[in-house]
Amino acid sequence: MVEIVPEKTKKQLGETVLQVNNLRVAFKTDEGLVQAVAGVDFTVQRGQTLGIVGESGSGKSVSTKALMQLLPPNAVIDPESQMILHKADGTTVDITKLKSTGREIRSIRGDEIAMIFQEPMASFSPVYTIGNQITEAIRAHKKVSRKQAREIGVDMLARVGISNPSQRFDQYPFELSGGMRQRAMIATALSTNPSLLIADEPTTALDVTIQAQILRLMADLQEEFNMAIIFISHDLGVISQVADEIAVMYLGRVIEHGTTRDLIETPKHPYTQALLNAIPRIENLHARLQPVGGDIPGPMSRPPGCAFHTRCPQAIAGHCNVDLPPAYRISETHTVSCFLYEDQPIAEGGDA
Amino acid sequence: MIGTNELGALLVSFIVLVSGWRIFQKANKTGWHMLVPIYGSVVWMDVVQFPRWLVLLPIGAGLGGLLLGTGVELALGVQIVIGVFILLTIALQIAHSIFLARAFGKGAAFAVGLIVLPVVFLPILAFSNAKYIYSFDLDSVEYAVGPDVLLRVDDLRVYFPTFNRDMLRSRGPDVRAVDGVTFALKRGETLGLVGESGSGKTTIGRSILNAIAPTGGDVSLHVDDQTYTLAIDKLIPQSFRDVVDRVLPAFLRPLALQNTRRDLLRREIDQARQHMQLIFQDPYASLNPRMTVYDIIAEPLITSGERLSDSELRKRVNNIAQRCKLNVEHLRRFPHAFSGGQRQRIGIARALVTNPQFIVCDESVSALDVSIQAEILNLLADLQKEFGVAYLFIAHDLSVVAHISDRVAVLYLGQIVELAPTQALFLAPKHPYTEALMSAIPEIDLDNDMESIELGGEIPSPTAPPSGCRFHTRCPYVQERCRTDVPQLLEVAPGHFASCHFVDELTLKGVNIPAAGTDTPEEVAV
Repeated sequence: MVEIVPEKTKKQLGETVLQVNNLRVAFKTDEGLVQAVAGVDFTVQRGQTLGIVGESGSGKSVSTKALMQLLPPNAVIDPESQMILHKADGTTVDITKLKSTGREIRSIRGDEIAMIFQEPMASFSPVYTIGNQITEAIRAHKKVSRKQAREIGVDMLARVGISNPSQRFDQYPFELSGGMRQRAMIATALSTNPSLLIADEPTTALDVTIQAQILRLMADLQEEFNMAIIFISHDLGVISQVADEIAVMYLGRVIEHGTTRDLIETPKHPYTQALLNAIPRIENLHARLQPVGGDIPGPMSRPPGCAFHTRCPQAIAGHCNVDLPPAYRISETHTVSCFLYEDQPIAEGGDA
Repeated sequence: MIGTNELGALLVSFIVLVSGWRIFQKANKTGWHMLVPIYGSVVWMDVVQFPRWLVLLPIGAGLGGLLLGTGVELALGVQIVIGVFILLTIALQIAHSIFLARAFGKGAAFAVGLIVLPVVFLPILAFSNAKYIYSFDLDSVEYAVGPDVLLRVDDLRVYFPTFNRDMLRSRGPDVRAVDGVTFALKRGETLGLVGESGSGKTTIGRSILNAIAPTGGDVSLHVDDQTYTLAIDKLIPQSFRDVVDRVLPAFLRPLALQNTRRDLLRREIDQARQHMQLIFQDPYASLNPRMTVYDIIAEPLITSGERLSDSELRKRVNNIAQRCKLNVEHLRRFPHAFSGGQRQRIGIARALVTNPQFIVCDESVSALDVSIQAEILNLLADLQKEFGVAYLFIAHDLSVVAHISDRVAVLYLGQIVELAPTQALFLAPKHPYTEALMSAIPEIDLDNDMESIELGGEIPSPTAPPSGCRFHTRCPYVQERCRTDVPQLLEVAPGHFASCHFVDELTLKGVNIPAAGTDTPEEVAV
């Protein structure tokens, strides 16, 4: 049996894995430049889960794809942005500087940072067996023989709770059910023992019962492999169950950031509050929902000032629609970008 | 009206006619008169049935006139006309059998259908009481329903055929997507339908609307003192079933019954369509990008057959658009100019424009963002209050279903395992599956640490549902009896139905509700 948890995971909890400073991503389109991510900062620590919540168009997927340089060719990452990855061997690298097709990013992709996607059927190739695709990932990053790679792969499948793994290993993706496919996807991502796992809506396409299984599995594996997770979802319920910290994004900007308890129990930003109120709760069955008024502005018509002012019930005319709110520090762990908290100190680093 | 199917059938009929003529000539030399009584009755039967006599009668009359006009003897003329009738009938029946054979796949099944169907099916129809079957009166089907019942679904079954990969493409076991579902929907009520993917929730919605033809069961819609029969097991008389059962091989029986059923129901369904509508899941996929929003909303009104003048049409479209909070000025635009939430409102306006009594909402808010979702849910509730429309609300998100529904039905593998008023279902579930579903809801409340009950594995295949209670393979409380005995859906409390052998013995946990829901947990000023 090959040892698949080598030395590099035996690192301490709480050590920074990734630091993102002022990440800006724009897309060149026929209609002009669309600013999808407009200055995002966050850090991810080993053994911790950062949840990113936001509606469609908030830039949550784009910012994580930028971390792996997986954006389409018309995307431009601002050269001033910083995405500093602390690699397992102790060196650091700024992902912004890497070429999206270069050798260096390819050694990071899948090895240091792994990713699982929403739709497991779409992210597996239908013409290769599951085993083939796991082995490919392992052999791209490790010098092991085919036989050893198979051993690692089968072992990984067993760890993610797939029964009869050596038989499943030789099956095609269509032969597996949705939940099984997502498990196999997780096995593929973890087979190289990454320090950071990006999970982009991993349970959105699954049923609640299967979702509960997958969430529990991810929590167990995080403990076992001691990795950092960035968990993207639009579902605050799911996020609040898995995340240690939550960043709420709106139109390409993190508007509120704090521990899960901070955000769920004392939300500060009007958007976060409205979002929490809009979710139907089982506790108060037929109470009328309070929707967030208005629609999300289109990507071409980004409002000036605070992007949320068009829908904000507490917007201060002449201020919110003109100036960009900096991040105010509410507590040690909690920052919010909203002028309602102007009396609080501005958090260093500028943005939330 | 004439599609490729019909053209193909006509072509085949022609070929058969030519070759049939040669057989007929040979038979003439030997003693073909023997065939006349048998096929004559077939012809008579076909004459009774609407579309065929329309074809056959003018041909017969024309041909007869032609023959007599050219001085042919009367007796011979009649014989020739009957002969042509026979050939045409055979051709039509063969064309019909080709349609049937197509359902079984191509290749050998095609040949089997071609030979077996005319030989087996024709004599059955000829000797059974064919006229009785075809003139059965829909209005005489009585349903014992209360005045407030809008929709009744009784033992609804929808099976999809599967085919083996062998040369003959032989028939495999059916996928039993919906397998015996019974419920009634009251006027102005919302019934939620929840279940995992593969439990048949979408199929139920679609088969009630007859977008998917049900395999069996009865569905009736009661609108304005009128009863529309949308699916009918009752409609086919037992005498006909007996004959079919005796003579046809098992794999042909459902087909024979279904075709008869669909012929009979077509008119009924067309009339009922304006009273029932569907709101789709994806507002980006369900609006035609080449039609203006006005045309999209007006289309159901135009196709419903109501003759409206342009100004009346405009009035109704504008009216409904306003109710759905759409800007009337924007109706001339195309769908791409609207956001997701607005598009979904267009979809709702389109569904409501014919004043339907019954709407199927198939995952209608699942594709929307949370902030928009709340708005659409509120709109649906408002419109229900205003128009008194009933919803069949299909969703996988339990908290959304709980919010909008008066009653909720939980589906598992094509069957209802629990049906109860929302409050009762969520607070005190009576079926272990419901309990497991509840426990798996991701709750935002951080202190309410509810241990989710992990269900082993996934939903079994509907081609081979487990024996006994279908849930026994995943049930945490499974006992020996569950593997063999099928539980019945029984009323365990007023209006609360559950199908579990141990309803009385199990104490199941519902959703924890702090202090009986007196105060909302979030008191945030927005």
